Amino acid sequence: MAQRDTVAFTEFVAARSPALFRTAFLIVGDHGLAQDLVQEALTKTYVAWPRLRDVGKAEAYTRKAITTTYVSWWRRKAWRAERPRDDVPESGPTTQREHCGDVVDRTWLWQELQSLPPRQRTAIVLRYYEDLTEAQTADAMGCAVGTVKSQVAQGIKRLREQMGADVTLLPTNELVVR
Amino acid sequence: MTGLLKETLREQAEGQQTPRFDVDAITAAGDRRTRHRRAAVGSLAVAAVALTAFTVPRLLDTAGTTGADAPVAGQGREVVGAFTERRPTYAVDGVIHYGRTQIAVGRTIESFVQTDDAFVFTTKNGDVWLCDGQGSERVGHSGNSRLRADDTGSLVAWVDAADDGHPQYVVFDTSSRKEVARVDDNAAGPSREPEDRGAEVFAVDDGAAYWRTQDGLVRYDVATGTSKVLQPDALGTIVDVASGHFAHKVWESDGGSSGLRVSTDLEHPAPPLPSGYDNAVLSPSARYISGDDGDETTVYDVATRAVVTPGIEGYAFAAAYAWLDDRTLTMIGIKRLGGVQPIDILECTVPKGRCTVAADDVATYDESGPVTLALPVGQRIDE
Repeated sequence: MAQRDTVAFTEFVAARSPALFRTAFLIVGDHGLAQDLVQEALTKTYVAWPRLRDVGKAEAYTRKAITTTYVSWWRRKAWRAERPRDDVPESGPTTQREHCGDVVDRTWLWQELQSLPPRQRTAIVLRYYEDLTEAQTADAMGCAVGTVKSQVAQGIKRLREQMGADVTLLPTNELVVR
Repeated sequence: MTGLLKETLREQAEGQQTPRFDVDAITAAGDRRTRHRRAAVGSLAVAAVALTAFTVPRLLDTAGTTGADAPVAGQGREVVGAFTERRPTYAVDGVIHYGRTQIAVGRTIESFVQTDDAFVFTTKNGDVWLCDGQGSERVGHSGNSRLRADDTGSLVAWVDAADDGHPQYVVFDTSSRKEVARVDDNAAGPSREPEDRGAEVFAVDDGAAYWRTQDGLVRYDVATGTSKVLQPDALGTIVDVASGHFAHKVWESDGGSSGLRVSTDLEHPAPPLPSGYDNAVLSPSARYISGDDGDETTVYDVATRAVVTPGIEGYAFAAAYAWLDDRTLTMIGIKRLGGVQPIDILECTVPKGRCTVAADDVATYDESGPVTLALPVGQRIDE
């Protein structure tokens, strides 16, 4: 039976955990929860370590563990009651929002991102923060490419509805047409 | 211009201080999880293996009906009547796979054992049922869904609870369809773990049941209805009994055990085997013992202590669960670890023989799915 290379795993954690944590944070929107999520995903990665032959595979495995574990946790709704919400600005109809520049827009957009269903949010983070292809995103989420397309499209559509048509969410070459 | 979405994501990500991850804690948790999963999948001890659902088409009985109390029938409408032969056996949901014969029992099986006359199984609410190939009937209730039966014969034993909650040890005879013993004990409730040192039925062997009461480890002779305390202080646990041989552990003063031993007298235990098995199964004559030590199954010749483990090629993990006879052992095997993997049932020859696939892909191994596979060892595989 293959043995676990603890030294290599330790190096992997040191090298990749900051990036993995940032992705996890963007997906869940909470520092503590993201830390728990990455800790759990790294544990799963360590268990699978003997069959992950290179760091690239290990990182993809951990990323997938983050997304699937998060969706699983979300389904159980156990974490939702504990999730701090005091940093979220008051919400309101788009028409009542005053545009005061990009900072306000980003704060507002961050809030709206957090209100998206978890799979839409995960797909958007993987596509537009991690810059994964649709196929890579599908692999990370454990779903079909078509599901990624629909989740991203629905998420972007909802953000546009909330943010207003005058906000440029994406560069024109990455516009989602649905 | 990268767009507001990417700018927002980057700003939020970069604004977070990365926490330090405790690699020692992660690796310790991973090692612990691996040990527990493998042990639980293979030998029914503890922990957190999970087997995903594997749906087997429900078979129709001879009258063409199904349901909770419908009669049962085998594959191709073969009605099964007696079960003296031991075959590679497992159950998924409400279907017992007895060799090539499938028996729909009408209920999801939590745990089950085989006697010469029937299969006895528990359901989630603790009810104990008997299925004789013609139909199923409720015959009792178990406090912890654990059943014990001999390698041959018709006796099954379990722990029930009286109305006031104290344990009662039950012995049921599947040939007469009667409860032949119900023994009260005023100790604590049914044990979930051997280490609890609570009420626990360990084994049935040659007309006797072995259990732990407040008086210690007890042998109950079913024919005479008499009990004999084998070890007064219950300073140990019995893992299996076959042909008068005990596979047992002796507790040390620190609460740990000094390894697994095979002895004929608990008061004068034999030296421990080289491996500190969590679980073990004696062959019917106690000539061999198979056990799992975390990651590996080892089979010993009890008399010579020689390792006689059969060749298990092509499987990353395999664990013994039952002897069909003194030279044939059944195991479950998983070819690759991680992700969702098929589970095969293996039939292995001892000493130092080979393993062949008795049934392939009977269920799947997964990290997070529900448990639906049951093996004829009398308890849930994730206990």
